[in-house]
Amino acid sequence: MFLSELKIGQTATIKAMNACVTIYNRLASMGISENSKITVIQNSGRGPVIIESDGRKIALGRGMSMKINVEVV
Amino acid sequence: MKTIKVAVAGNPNVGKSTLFNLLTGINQHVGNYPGVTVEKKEGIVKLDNYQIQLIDLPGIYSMNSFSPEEEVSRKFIVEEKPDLIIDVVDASNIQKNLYLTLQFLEMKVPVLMFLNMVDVAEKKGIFIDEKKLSKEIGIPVLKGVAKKKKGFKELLDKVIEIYEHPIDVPDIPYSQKMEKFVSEISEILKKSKKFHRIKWRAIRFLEGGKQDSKFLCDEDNKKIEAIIEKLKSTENVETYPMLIVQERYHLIKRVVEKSCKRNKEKKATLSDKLDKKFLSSFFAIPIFFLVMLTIFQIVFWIGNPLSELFASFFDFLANFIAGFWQEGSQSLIKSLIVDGIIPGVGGVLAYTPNIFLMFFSIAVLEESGYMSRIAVIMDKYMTKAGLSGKSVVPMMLGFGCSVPAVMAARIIENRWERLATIMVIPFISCGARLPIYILLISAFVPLSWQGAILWGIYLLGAFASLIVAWFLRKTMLKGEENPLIIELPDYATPTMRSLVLLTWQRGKHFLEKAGTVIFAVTVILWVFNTFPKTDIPNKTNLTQAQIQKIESENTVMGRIGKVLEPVFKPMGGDWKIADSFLASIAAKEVFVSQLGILFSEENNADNKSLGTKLKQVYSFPAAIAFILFMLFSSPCMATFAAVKAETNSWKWPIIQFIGMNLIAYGIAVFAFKTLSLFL
Repeated sequence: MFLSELKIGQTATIKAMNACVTIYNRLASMGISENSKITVIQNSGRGPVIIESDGRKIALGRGMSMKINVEVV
Repeated sequence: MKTIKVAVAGNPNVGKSTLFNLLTGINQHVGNYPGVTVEKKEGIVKLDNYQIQLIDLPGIYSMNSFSPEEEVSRKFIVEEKPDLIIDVVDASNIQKNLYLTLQFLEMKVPVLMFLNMVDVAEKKGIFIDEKKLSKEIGIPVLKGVAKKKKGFKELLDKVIEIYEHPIDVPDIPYSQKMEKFVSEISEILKKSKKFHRIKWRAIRFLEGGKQDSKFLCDEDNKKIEAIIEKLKSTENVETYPMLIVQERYHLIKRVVEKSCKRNKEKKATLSDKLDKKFLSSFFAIPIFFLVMLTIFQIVFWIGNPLSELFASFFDFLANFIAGFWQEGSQSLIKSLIVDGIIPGVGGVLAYTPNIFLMFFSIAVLEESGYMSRIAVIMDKYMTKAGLSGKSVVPMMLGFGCSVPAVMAARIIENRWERLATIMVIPFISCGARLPIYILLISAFVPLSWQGAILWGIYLLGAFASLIVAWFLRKTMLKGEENPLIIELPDYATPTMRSLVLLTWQRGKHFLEKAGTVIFAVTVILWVFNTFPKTDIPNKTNLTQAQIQKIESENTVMGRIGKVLEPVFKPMGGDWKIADSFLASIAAKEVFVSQLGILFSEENNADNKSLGTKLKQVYSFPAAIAFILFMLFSSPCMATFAAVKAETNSWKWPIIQFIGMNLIAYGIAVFAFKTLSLFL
């Protein structure tokens, strides 16, 4: 399933990220990459999804969150 | 005296600037990196026989050149070769911060880690054994609290020690299979004899970075591609950059496990609780508007009385200086100073309090952590116009003054988005245009409709800015994919010191840049408004106002107005209107004073207001057309200069100047013709 479909409070592991190299490396350098565990803080179905990963809160644009494959733990 | 060149680097929000500011104090110099709008801060600390030159690199997450900040930092390290990097690391978030540290080490620069905010980390139950950490990662590590200046002495001593006794930069131990690929690429790079820092460049290829391929011959590039293909097939992955990323995180995990202890479960912090409200779908927008409203109150309610005080000071100054000449003196120097420079430059400088309060408010938003929340809240609306949430604050500031608004667009990382934002900011009605609207509206519009029309003007401007932004992003400023990715730092109480410093650093630019251009334009306008002088025979038969009228018609400005008259005819204007619009290029509100001068001859006796006089000459559709022209036409000279400075080119301000005037002209003429049909 996609990151955009997760509900508030759900924790998941990232399986794959479908992004160009620049964006991929940007996300990776912020700690969002394959195998990282993330928890959804805010997701209202519209607008950015806010996630937490290892104590860092990050907002991702909706479009981006629909390109990240996750697996709920 | 020996000079040590030290770069201060780290992720955003780790207290890097606090460390830099408290170390260097007022001994700093703020400029820009060439070609980009990234602030370059330098400072000097003197200790014993050493001069430590500190350079505060922008906060970054990696060296992958995603943003101008990363590009600048990479360039700095490669080209300026600092003796040492002080890597500022947030102790509560060490596993995240180490990613950048590893990249520094890959570049083979000596790194000294400053573990910042250990007090906060310990409160959260995170304890770091810096000796173990240092051993694991192979670089010196010091603990401290930048805010309280804790650990500074040790830090500086260590800098000198490393300078005198250079340390080895450790090799990052990647897995054997990875090292194999790295060394294969390194071989090719080495043979080409074009590079330093071979290993780092080899790793860049494995990250998917193509920056170096342009220096290699086709054959070498093909070889490297083949190696990457081999990597892809042995690991069976399509997105091969993930391999090096995974290895780095694997390494970091090992380092952190050996050196950090966490003895408390993570609790919901105050920040988490605040975000529940500030970012909730129900409260987010009302809170955002409340915050913006507060800023406007501060900027204008506190700013305006202060700015009036400034203005009256300039009045006083003009009178005082005029006092050096005899009354009625025709001295040109007096006229230049009293009628030209002081009202012109003073007119702009009078806005200094508003501008500084504005920058102060932005600093509060940034330092408190709310700025990034605004970007998140507004993102879904702004993406429709091809912008992102980060454009909101600059655009809102545009309601106050376009100059700081254009400057505030720096916070937008993406080049295309930043350009689009800068290009449309002047559509948003600035404070200087208000006196013009008020003059025209109160003269031509019935009282009960005045408020609504004024609101309409402001909404129309904001709406136009979004439409034009959308258009630009579809055409001239397409640019690359740019999703919102933004960190939300914990909320924090800003320190007065950092607020004042930030405000001053940015406000200074306004004084320097806008001030010099305005000064030049003021002098030119004065010349145009004064020359050529007219010799009027039989002066005694005429009133002072009539003399003034004849004189002003004969000046360059008057003549240009006459030439431009046919251009303004189709919107119901005449040479006086043409003249006033022309003069308003210096500063928008000059429109009112120029009209005032041109209409002053109309019978002083019955003491009619300017508005009444205008009503006798122009029609209602014409007044609406003037308002629309004022709303959409090109911004003042100071904004032009700011756009030139921020885009670092003449192209964009000129496109803006021409484009906006064309749009404004079209709309104004259309409105005049249409309204004239009905009224």
